[in-house]
Amino acid sequence: MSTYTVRFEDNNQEIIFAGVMRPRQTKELDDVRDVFESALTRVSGTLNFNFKRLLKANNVAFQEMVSLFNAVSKRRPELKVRVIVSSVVGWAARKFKIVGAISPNIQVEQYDQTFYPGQGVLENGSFISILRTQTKMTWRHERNILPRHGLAEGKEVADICCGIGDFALLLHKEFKPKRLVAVDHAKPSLQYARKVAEEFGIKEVEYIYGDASALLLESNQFDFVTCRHSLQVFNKPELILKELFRICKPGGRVYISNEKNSQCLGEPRAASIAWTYEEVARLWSHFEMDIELGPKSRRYLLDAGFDDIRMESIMVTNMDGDPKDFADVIQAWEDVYAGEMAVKRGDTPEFISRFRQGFQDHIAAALHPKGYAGWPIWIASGRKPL
Amino acid sequence: MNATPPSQTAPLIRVDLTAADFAANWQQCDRVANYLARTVSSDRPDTFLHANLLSTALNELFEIAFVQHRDGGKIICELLRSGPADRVQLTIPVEAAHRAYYRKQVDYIHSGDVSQLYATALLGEADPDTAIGLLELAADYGAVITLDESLDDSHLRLVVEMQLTANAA
Repeated sequence: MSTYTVRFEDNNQEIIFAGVMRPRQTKELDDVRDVFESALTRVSGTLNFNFKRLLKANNVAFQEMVSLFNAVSKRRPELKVRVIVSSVVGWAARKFKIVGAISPNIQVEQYDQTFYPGQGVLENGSFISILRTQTKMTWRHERNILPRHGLAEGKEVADICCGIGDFALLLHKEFKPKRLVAVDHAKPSLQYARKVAEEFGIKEVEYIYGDASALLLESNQFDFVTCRHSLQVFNKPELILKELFRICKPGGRVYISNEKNSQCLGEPRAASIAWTYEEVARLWSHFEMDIELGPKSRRYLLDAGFDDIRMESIMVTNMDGDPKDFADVIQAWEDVYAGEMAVKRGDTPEFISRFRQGFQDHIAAALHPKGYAGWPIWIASGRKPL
Repeated sequence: MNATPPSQTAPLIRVDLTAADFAANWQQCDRVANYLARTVSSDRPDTFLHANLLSTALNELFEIAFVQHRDGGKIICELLRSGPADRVQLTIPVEAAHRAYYRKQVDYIHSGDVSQLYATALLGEADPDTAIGLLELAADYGAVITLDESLDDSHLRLVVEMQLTANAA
């Protein structure tokens, strides 16, 4: 039985490899050559070789790849070749760096960096403090909500897009999972997560560097899979959900949380606050992220194949705990959204000034002795059918 | 060439493979490499990345031993650790021709700029040898590869030391 798959997709002009490719001789790779020959007759412009799901390959396979790249250079010199690898699959990032030497038409691209357009900002280490405060505020609600979505003690749990890992630590303390794997794509966040876990003497959480849309975790492994505030950050959330579905056991549940930022509210100064958060939604959309995804969760889960959908919304407010925490989160949003993202989009100083005012009004509402400030979040979960 | 003695290197795991059984099925290279890599990577900070890289390295070594060993005896693989570095010691039963082969390959790795040697072997006109795996480990993984010939006449030990991930400790 073959341990790998290879197929050509016309719409992306892409030869896609997956699995493990460690043959003894190159003649075992006849199917690869067949797919390649067929592709070569059908493409123009650029031919993509996608290795992001090829988990392992030996040098026999690699030499065959090199011979294919050579063949393109000789037989179709006008064709550009794009080799797509993932930084998560370690061997490929190292092995393929040499193939650029074959021809200037061959370009090696690290797929993770081009797939998430808005991630540069959000994976920046400076965002860590805001994430920590956010988790503190949402945990007050979620510790009670999680059991309603099926989480109980002793389960095998994965937290995908775990960020700085604080939610995973809280899960570990509260629900004592049998196994807890936490995956994220931001190295500064993971370093922080490991450091905190070490300081707390917690060794049971496995923090793993990984790509949520191409997880290296095996299928049907986890009773409960969480993915919080993250589908809204990706421009192809359905790809992430496909992976969450895959790693979840039949009968297990996938738990997601997302926002609809335009529904953030506050009193007094409601109009200014509402205007700014409408603009936040447009700003995220510009960077191909959907901060309005929350209420769409049911549709996304059903489309991904889940059943028994459970859904509820929470309003995190300035009356949950310390209002200063709420104010700190809003200030951090202003710093990133107005201070970095709006600038990057090329907004005028006049726009940015008005944009900032709404955040300041939200902070004022949070700290006002008679004020009210809210941040709505939608929680949803679905069961993987048996 | 003799290997440098391991300094403060803690043994992690050892597998003894009957050469005849091992060499009966090419898939054994993949299976044993995966098993060992997953086992010793479990306490590394990035388990999957470390296991993926270590499996790749071990598989290349097993594939060479699969082809280059004498009948009879055992192939022994030991994994040791010294801080962030992993050390693989592969003891292989050999005849004189195999010994000459390994000497030639290891000497070649040390004969010049290893990245250039690897590029020439991979992209040149000549058919690459199985031992291109050793060159790749030296070029892509910064592996220090030596041959320990202090064993008896019918065995040698291939020693490969490398740091697979930047923050592996």
